[in-house]
Formats: sequence, structure tokens, C-alpha cells
Amino acid sequence: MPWVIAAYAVTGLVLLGYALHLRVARRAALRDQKRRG
Amino acid sequence: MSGPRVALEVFAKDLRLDLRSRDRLGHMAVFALLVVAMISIVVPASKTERLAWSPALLWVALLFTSLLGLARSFQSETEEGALALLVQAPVDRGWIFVGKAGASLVALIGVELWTATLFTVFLDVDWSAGPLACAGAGLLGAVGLAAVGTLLSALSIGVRFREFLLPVLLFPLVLPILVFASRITADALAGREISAQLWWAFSLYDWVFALIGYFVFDYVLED
Amino acid sequence: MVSAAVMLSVVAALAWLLWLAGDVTGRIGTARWVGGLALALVPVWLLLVAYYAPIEVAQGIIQKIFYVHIPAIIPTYFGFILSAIGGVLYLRTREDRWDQLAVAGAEVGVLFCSLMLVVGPIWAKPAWGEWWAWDLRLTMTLILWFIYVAYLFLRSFAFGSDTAKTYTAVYGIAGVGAIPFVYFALDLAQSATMHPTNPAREGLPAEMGRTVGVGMLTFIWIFAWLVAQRLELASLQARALVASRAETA
Repeated sequence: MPWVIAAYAVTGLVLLGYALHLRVARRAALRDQKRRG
Repeated sequence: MSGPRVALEVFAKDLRLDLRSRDRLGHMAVFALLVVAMISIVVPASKTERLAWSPALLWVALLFTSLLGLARSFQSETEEGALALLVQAPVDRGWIFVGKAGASLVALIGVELWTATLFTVFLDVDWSAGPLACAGAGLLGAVGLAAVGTLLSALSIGVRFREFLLPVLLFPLVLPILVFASRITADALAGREISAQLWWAFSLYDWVFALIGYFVFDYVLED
Repeated sequence: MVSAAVMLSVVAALAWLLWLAGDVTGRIGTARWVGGLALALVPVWLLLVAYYAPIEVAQGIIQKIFYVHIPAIIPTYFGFILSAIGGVLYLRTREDRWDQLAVAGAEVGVLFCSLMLVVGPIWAKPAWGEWWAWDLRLTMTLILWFIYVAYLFLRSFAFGSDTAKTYTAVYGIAGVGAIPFVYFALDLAQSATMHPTNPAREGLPAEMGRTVGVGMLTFIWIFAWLVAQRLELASLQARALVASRAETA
């Protein structure tokens, strides 16, 4: 059972982590763009 | 100047360079010797085990040795000047690929013969069990390595960490060569029949990458 | 019916992403619908896994990892193909947007490929006793991963130069060209062992089939949404690069 949870948890965490990483990077890039006007 | 003419020029120039400086060939030969020696010392001594593993080990040794040669393919500085001149010729740049790959092919065949000899001397491998098949595998393998290797060598011109990058790019793509060649060699030495499918797949692989290299080189050399 | 939905989704996702790449900043708004769809599918999928899919006799509850492992296959290959398409289009048109699509496909693809390589062993160990086996499917996935990683390394090391985009596009094409041969070669080399997780397609109970199908749908749209986000990021970064070059000029 813990194996099953581990499998789903890893998947969820990785995907969420990547999505968050992208969000942070996109926010930074958008801020940069606004700054440059 | 026609395309094939350009290819021939590039081929001849590279070959002359190889034979004159003996850099590339010499280094590959010594490296092959080192690798085979290490293998011979470390691999278990039983004759049957050696026979079973030799084809695979041979090709792994060849793979590593070829890295040396392929990295040289686009390396010298005088190279870049000469290359820039060639690129201006109004021909399909794919012919440059043909010339370069051809020169690498010759070098690889030389190394193969040398390594096969080493295997006979150090590991007692008897190629006469299936000389034609082994030679065929050797040729197809050399063509494949030359084609893919030349292409990837060009793709790493001016890129950082080239010594790391080239093997990383190369190994997954040439895995089929290793599998096909060592399988044919193993079957030939063991007296087993070699499936025609194997020969077809191997030849097809070589064709596909020769074509990819040829057609794609126009884009690659655009700098 | 679920499999029809899966195939439809693949085509739809591909079409959407290609369309999106045409004008990322203008069209990125549509991504919220895709994101919403993916988000909505997740609880459906999980509920099916927990309550609808039967517990398999031989492996017990461990077998339920099947429903998070298999759905990752399509995104893994999808990313690869997207990368190749982007590469070819870039070489022909020299438009940056296609190069950006290629990178997005490769990055998200390698993510799912890595997941397969991690979740697979998590399943294999309790189910069959060993973490890894050099069978056809696992090895194929590993080689695919190597090609992906090589692609990303090439990109990273060549970064900044104009040739980087060309080089990676070419490598993408070479990679795709090699895949069928790798498969054939591995099949040949592995003729002895068999992938333990290969349930005969006919023998898969309907509930299992539907559950894994919904899982595939979920993952396809998660994949598409992630690629879209990555694509937007690439577009923004490319703009920043151009702008900073103009400033220093």
C-alpha cells in the first residue's frame, strides 16, 4: 500500500513542482517585460 | 565544381591529414590497444565465456575508440578556414558530409582491423569461423558510426563541453549499431545462422543516417 | 469508447498546441480551458482508480500503480514527436516559435519519461521482486530518456548562439530517426526476457481498461497544459533576449 501511495505521490509532486517552477519563471519574465516597458 | 568532386576533395584532404600527422590514427590505435588489454586482463579466462562476450566487448571498445576519431572530424583550426571556403561553393553541402564521413569511415575500418587483430592475439578469438559475416558486420558498423558520428561531430562545433557532449549525443543513437554488429558477429563465431532481417535492418539504418546526414548538412553548416 | 476519446484527445491536443505556437502571447488565454479540463479530470481518474477499478488477484493493491504508470506513456512519446515536428518546422521556416515548441515538447516529455522510469521500479519491486529488468520496454524508455537528456544538454551547452536552435532541431530529427531502430534492436537483444507488466490486451477487464483510459485522458491534457505554459515562458524569454541585445547594441 505505501508503494501505491508513493507512486501517486511522486507523480503528483513532480508535476505540481514543475508547474510551480514554470509559474515562478513566467511571473519573473512578465515582470521583466513590464519593467522594460 | 560538382558535388561529388567536392566530396572527393574533402575526403582526400582529411585522409592526407590523417596519414601525414598520424595524430588521429595513432591515438585511436593506442587507445584501442589499451582498452583491449584492460578487457583481456579483467574478463574471466574461460574460453567459452570469452567467446560469448567478445563480440559485444569488441564493439564497445570500438565505440569508445571511435569517439576519439570522430571528435577530430571538425576540430582543427585550419579546418574552419577551409570549411568556410568550401561552404561557399555552389553545391549541396551534403557532399561535404559525404567527404568527411568517408574519411572517418576509412579511419574506422583501419581501427576495426587493428582491434580485431588485438582480440585474436590477446583473447584468442578465431575469426575464421565466419569471416565474411564478421567483415560485413564490421563494414556496416563502420559506415553507421561514420555517418552518425560525423553528423553529431558537426552538431557540436563550437559547443561547450564537447568531450562530454559528443558521447552523450552519440551513444543512444548508435545503440542499434552495437546490437546489430555484435549479434551478427556472435552468431557467426558460434556457427549459428544469421537472420536476414538483421542484415536488412542494419543496412537500412546505415542508409537512413547517411541520408539524414546528407540532407541536413545544408542547415548545419549555415553559419 | 474511452479509447476513442483518448485518440481524439491526442489529435486535439496536438492541433491546439500547433495552433498555440503560432501566436503564443495572443492565444495563451485558451490554456485556462485546457487547464480546467485537466484539473476536472484528475478527481474523476483518482476516484475510478480507488473505487471502480477492481483489485487484481495476483498482485493485490500494488497493481493499482498501473493506472498512474501507463498514462505517462503517451505524454512521453508525444513530447518527443512535438519536439521533432518543431525541429523540422524550424529548419524549414527559421521561425523561432517552432524552436520554442520543440523545447517545450522536449522538456515536458523528459519530465514524463523520468516519471515512468521512477514509478516503474516503484511498481516492479513489490510486484516482481526486482527494481529493474533489462527488458524491451524499460530499456526503450531508458534510451528515450537518454536521447531527451542529450537533446537538452546540447541545447543548454550551445545556448545563446544562433546555431543552437539549428543543432537541436537536427538532433531531434536524428533522434526520431533512431527510435524505430532502437526498438527493433532491443527487441532482438531481448528475445529471451519478457516485460512482466504485459497484460494481454484482450484479457484486460473492462473496468481496468476504462480506468486506465481516463488516466490517459487526464495525462494528455495535463501534458498539453504544461507544454503551453512552457511555450509561453520560452516566448517571453526569447523576447527578453532580443530586448537585452537591443539595449546593449
